Amino acid sequence: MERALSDKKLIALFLVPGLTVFLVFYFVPILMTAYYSFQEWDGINPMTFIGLDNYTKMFTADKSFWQAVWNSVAFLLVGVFIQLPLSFGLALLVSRKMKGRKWFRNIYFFPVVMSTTMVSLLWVKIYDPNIGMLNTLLEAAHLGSWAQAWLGDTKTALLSVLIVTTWHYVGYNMLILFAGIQGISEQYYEAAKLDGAVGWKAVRHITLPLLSDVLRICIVLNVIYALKTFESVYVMTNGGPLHSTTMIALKMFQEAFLKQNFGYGSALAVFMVLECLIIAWVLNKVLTREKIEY
Amino acid sequence: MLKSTKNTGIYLLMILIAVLQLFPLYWLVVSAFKDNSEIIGGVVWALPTEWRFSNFSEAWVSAKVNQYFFNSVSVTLITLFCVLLFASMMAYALTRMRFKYNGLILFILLMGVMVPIHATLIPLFMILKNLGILSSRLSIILPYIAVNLPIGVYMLSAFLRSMPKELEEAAFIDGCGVIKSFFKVVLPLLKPPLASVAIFVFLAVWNELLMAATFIQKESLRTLPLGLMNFSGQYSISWGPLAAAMVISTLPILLAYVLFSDQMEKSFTAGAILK
Amino acid sequence: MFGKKLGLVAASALLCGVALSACGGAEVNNGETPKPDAKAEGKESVSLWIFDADPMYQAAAEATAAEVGVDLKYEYIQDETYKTKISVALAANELPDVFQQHAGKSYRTPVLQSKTVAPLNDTLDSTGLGAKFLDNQLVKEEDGNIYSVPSNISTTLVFYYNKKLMNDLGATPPATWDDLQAVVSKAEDKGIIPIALGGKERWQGDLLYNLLVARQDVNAFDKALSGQAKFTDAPFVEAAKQVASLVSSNAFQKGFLGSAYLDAQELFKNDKALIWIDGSFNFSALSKAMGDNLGYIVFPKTGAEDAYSATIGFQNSAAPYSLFVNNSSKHLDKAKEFAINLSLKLNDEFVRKGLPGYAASEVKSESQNEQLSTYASDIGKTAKTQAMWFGLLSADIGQEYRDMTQQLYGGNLTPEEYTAQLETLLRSAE
Repeated sequence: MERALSDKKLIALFLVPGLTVFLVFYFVPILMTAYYSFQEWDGINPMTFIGLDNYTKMFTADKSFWQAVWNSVAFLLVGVFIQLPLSFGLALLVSRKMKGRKWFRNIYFFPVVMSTTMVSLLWVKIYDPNIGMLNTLLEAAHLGSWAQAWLGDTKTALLSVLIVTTWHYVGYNMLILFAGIQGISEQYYEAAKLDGAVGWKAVRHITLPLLSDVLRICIVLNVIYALKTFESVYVMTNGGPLHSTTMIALKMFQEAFLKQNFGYGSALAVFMVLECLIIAWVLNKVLTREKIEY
Repeated sequence: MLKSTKNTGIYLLMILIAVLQLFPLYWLVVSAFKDNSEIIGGVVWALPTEWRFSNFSEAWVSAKVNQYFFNSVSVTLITLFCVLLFASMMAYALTRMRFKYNGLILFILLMGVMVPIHATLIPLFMILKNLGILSSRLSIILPYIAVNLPIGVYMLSAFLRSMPKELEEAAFIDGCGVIKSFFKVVLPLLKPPLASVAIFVFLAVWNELLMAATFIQKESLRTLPLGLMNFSGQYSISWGPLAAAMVISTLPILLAYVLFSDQMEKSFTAGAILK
Repeated sequence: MFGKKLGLVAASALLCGVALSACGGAEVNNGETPKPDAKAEGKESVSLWIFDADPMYQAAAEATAAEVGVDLKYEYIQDETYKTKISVALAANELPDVFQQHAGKSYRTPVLQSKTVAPLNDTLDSTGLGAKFLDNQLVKEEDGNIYSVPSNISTTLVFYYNKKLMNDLGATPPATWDDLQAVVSKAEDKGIIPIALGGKERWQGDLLYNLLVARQDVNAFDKALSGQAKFTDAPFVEAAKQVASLVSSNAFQKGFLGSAYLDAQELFKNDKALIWIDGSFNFSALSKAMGDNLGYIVFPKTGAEDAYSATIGFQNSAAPYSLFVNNSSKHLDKAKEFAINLSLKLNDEFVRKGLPGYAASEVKSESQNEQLSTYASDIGKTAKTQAMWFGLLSADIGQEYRDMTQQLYGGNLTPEEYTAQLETLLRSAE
């Protein structure tokens, strides 16, 4: 068996198809992007090498860059500290043995299967300050003073986008966590019951620790989603008003394809790659350490 | 007594959340039957005064939702199939087989998990062009496979590492070759994590807009997000047909979800608990 | 042996993909476009990209294809997507046979620089169709060639108002800045949106500012750009102050910075907003939707200049909305013939709607619209059409400029700060 598993031809057979696709359509393009990031290039005329100028511009001259960084952080924090706890709460609710729990689970999960583009188009209409549903509802509930311009106001636009993302994806984490909860054996709870741990106590001392692996996956997935956010802001606000909802991915896209700064767009892409890798590394460190504490 | 009040409270809470999740969709459905003056001037939650099915026929004909839906489904299925196959093969090779560059490959792939696909857009376009596949579905299928492979390999090899080798060894003793034991023994065991990878990849591919918008050159190949985006540009002013197009595009998923949710959740339930 | 099997699986998966993509075009076809089998009829096929949502474009393209005898592959692409798609296609030389491009130098220059478009002179001459275009409607580039034909008429910024709402207010269309302010506050008091503005795409506010500057001094922009004056001079500051005062008096709808252009337009059409400032290219569509309810006046005299002194827009003589032909098209001659004929067919449609066309046409105007004839006579009296600034700037500076102008509308920059930044930015444009 050992020999069979070291057969070069076999190894190649198993690795080559996937690895080829990965290298040609993912890895090589990333390296090319890194190369472009040192150039000034409009996509049409020949490139000129400008060293680190694109990066200097990014960190010093581009005002909306830091706004985009901050927005990514906001997405990340909301994903991990608001959406995830909500999902956990929902998962607990739908794990209770009660009538119709499957219905509730299905309803909470359903928005996840709709495409982001569609959800965003829908919420643009809901938020519309003049004809949208939200303000009309607030006024009907005599909460007219709460009515806002939502996506049209720099103060509320980011929050509004975050609400949509949470609404859309809360069911996703819920289902993963629910699956995790289902995997916990009844015995633990029964043993705990004897020790007087029921309700919240049982959740804290049994469910949470036993779910730590699943939670870790959820955190990583949430962070990836947050940093890669593109579709929702592209459709809902296009980064506006006044860059208040812009994201690195969106900026990269606009620089390259609207302003025809392919070089600078590539530099932003490289930043995004590094940012993701660093955060992944940090996350890995922190979460592994936490795991030991349990 | 106390318990039943508590239960009622929980029910109420759950119903409230369900309403929050569903109300936007309710609004979408009623809007799909209204005309503009009713949407703009009327009561938002009211049922339409007249049920305008014409919105749906308009959406069906001009939005070509059926075509976009078919495109999305075929792109998603082909991508899913290739990702699941390639990723399980790679995960198997990386965890079970012995060779030198094992660590390096795993590292490169793990980078791929974190790197946003947008970073590859510009060079990818050039590569696809040089391969001459810009006018086919392959122009998005191949990048989709490449982008989703790493997460698949990552999740599957995590599972494989925790899986005892006894079964495979037994298969070897029975005279199975590596390939046969992979297809007969390993793949069936991988079902649960494959299901979670499948859901992850499905969501990523089903939603993808940026690459589709950039690479798809033919109208007949547009995917659902791209089609809806385009339709909204043409019909943003008539919200009724747009809403109808959105409803039509959701119905098949709703149907699939109602029919298969049990199965889907079962495999998902088993699959999500990775080590 | 098993290796083969596996290879087969992988190969069949890929084949499956190829097969699906190959038959994708023919599989589902319930759109309006008839797709006759090109090979069977022996017609050459011409692909066309259009970003104009007006159904008139598709109809005209299909009619032209039938006349010229080509198999048309018409593709509408949503405007915002189009802008990005065309720059990728230019960079990669993956253009369709014929494509539309936005007006303005910032959109036109990249197309010309890419050297991917074909000169049309030969076909214009050999078919004799070139003579049909009116003077100055075909742009001669520096090398003496003509690379494009118009896809739209010369466009200017126009002041539309909702007649019903204006009557309800008991007001008359404003003729001066003071009138405009009075009408705005009157509407505001009655709970009517005074001016609907689509801020999301940013161009509408940008154009309004251009016009307000032109009303201060017709030549302000040209003088400042050429270095004879500064962007911090009085006309720019005054106009910026007017914008700021409109914003502070709630002249625009709630959340206008995030409103899409088409949504804002809908407010105007549905009697929710009194005033709509938009291009004249929209005249026919608006009057079709609103009938007699649509009012038009020449933009009020908001500054020192007379109302007829200048307007903002695009002249077809500079960098118009255009159709270009890809010079690597497989059927280059047919593609050229198609593009030229399509341009003329579109012209017929504009003339039919009562708009001033860019070429000779046998079609008679069917519209008896009083508003349109007023507009036609107004435009004849206008001394100068200042090209919209964005169209004169390079793509990256143009985008920066629009971002800045949006900050003025958002109240994040005072008029003085705004003009100071304008000076820095546009000075670097040279």
